[in-house]
Amino acid sequence: MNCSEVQNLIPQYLSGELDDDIRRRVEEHISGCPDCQEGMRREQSLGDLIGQSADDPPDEYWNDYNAKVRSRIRGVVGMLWRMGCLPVCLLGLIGGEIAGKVCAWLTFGNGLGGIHPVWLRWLLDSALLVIVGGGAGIIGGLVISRAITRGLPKYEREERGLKQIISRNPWYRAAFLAFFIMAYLAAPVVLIWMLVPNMHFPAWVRGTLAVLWFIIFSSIILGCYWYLKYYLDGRTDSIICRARNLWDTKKRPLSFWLIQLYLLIVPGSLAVDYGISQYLLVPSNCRQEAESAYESGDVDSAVSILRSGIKKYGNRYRVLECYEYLGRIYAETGKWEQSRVIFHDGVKTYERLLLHPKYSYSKDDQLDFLGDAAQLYIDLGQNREAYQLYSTRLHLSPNDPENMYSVAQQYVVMGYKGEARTLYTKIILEFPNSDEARWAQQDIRDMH
Amino acid sequence: MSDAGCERQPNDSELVERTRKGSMDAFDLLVERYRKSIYRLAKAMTQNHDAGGDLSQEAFVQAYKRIRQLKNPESFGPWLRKILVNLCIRHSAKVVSASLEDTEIESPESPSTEAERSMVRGSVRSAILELDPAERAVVLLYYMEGLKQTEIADAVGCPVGTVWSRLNSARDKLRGLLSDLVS
Repeated sequence: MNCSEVQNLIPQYLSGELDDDIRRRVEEHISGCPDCQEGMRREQSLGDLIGQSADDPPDEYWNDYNAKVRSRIRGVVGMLWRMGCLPVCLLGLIGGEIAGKVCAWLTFGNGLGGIHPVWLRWLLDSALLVIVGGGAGIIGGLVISRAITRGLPKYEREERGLKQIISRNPWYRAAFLAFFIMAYLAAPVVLIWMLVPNMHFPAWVRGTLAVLWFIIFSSIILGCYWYLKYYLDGRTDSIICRARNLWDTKKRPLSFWLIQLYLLIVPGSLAVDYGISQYLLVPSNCRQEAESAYESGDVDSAVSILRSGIKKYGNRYRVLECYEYLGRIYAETGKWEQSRVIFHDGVKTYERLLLHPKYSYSKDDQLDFLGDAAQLYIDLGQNREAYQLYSTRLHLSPNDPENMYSVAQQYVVMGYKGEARTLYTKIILEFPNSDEARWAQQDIRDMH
Repeated sequence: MSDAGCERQPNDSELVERTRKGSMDAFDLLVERYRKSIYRLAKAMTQNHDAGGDLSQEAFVQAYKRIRQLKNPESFGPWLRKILVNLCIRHSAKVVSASLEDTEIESPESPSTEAERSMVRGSVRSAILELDPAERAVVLLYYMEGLKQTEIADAVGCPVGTVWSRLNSARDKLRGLLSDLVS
């Protein structure tokens, strides 16, 4: 064992990660080599310095730590609970009542009041509600979304989503909540207030109407709750996406039917949800849902969620995650052919997206994805494809010694020793003072 | 922890199961158990008390929300650390210039040895902050948490070879930055 090899092994020696045989050889070498003894002392001293740099906060910091975690877990629903539901509901009802009166004045005061028969007026009014509710959803979603995400790059908006921004800022949370309360409560309140007393229907019709309104009203409350829970608690991003994912998994829990019922009976809910999910919040995270299904052993569900994710995300950044994860699942379950096809499609999509002017990817993301895809090709034994991806990677970041070095290492793994040597030499010539140049020299020696 | 010895402390696996069944108190115990180490790692990653505290809490929040996804309840600790490391790396990528907010470089009241020690700590923290987030994570997990390379690879989500090369690169940078102290 020479000094260079021993120096490389010193950290592992100190952390006890070496096999007995190698450990003994390292010990033998160090005992007779002052340079390596010095190297070991330096390594120990570096470890001590970093270990000692950590410090703890004062004890009182921990007094309310758990309470803070709890409060963040509860999110908006917890905040409402702590604020007291009653005043919030009252505020919502008063707001709804005011908005209802305005709507009623607009609807019956001048315009629709004289319309007969009653069913036509009712129909027109329903149409108005859909337009008001849905329009408010889309426009409100757009306005709030643009206002909050102004200045953020597209990539950042899609990747991080607004959930975090909204849920961390009490003003945005309040605005978001008020928006939902107004959009959803105003519509039925005005109908209850205006239609039922004004129409001279028999008692059983009015009773049926009352029950119907009660169902709608409860579903609205339920809808608000779901929105808040799913959007702001970070569980998933959209009720529709949630329903679609449940549909894909062929599971039918109670929540699935409740969501269907909700979507069916609340006027404008589809439009509002569409507006919200498209413009205000990120689409549901298929990768996360699939990961959860896959980790619990449900491979079929994970695959179907990812396949629907690929369709759903289309040109969005997140489609790459779906391709990558699906490719991996296929590879891990031994379906090599499917894995290869999926990765091939993923890479093609990646190339398409890379040229898409609408998306701005960070270079690190691009390098990571190319690296991942190439690694999978290596796992599949398709070195030629991997080689092409690594070439793209080099092309993408041609003057980065770190990138060059990692590509060269992969070339060695794949057996492209000539290319690796050329790349190593290039690093040594172009970046003679870099760490990579030093490692490259070492690697060239090792190759010999 | 206070009544250790009177009754057996539930292990992580039991607490995770109880949390899954809806017990917030069980999760509180998990928070209590891991908060110090998680905070220390988050603080070291960000070198900032507020950001470290915020990210450590966020790690617990995410762990709670994804607790059903945890395959082996007994490995709650490493899983939580993995969540934290990812959060910290993402956070560091967002923060363009991190700040060393509470590094006491000089303290007139302190005796000279204490001042010297805090100066050393300040230099080490600045050096750690110079590393890129992925390298920082690997260095801290290795030197501060004392993890083995396979465990680090699991926490950071990359192959062992990458851990090795990041560790080497970070070590060289740190030695350069802390040449006076290390030698």
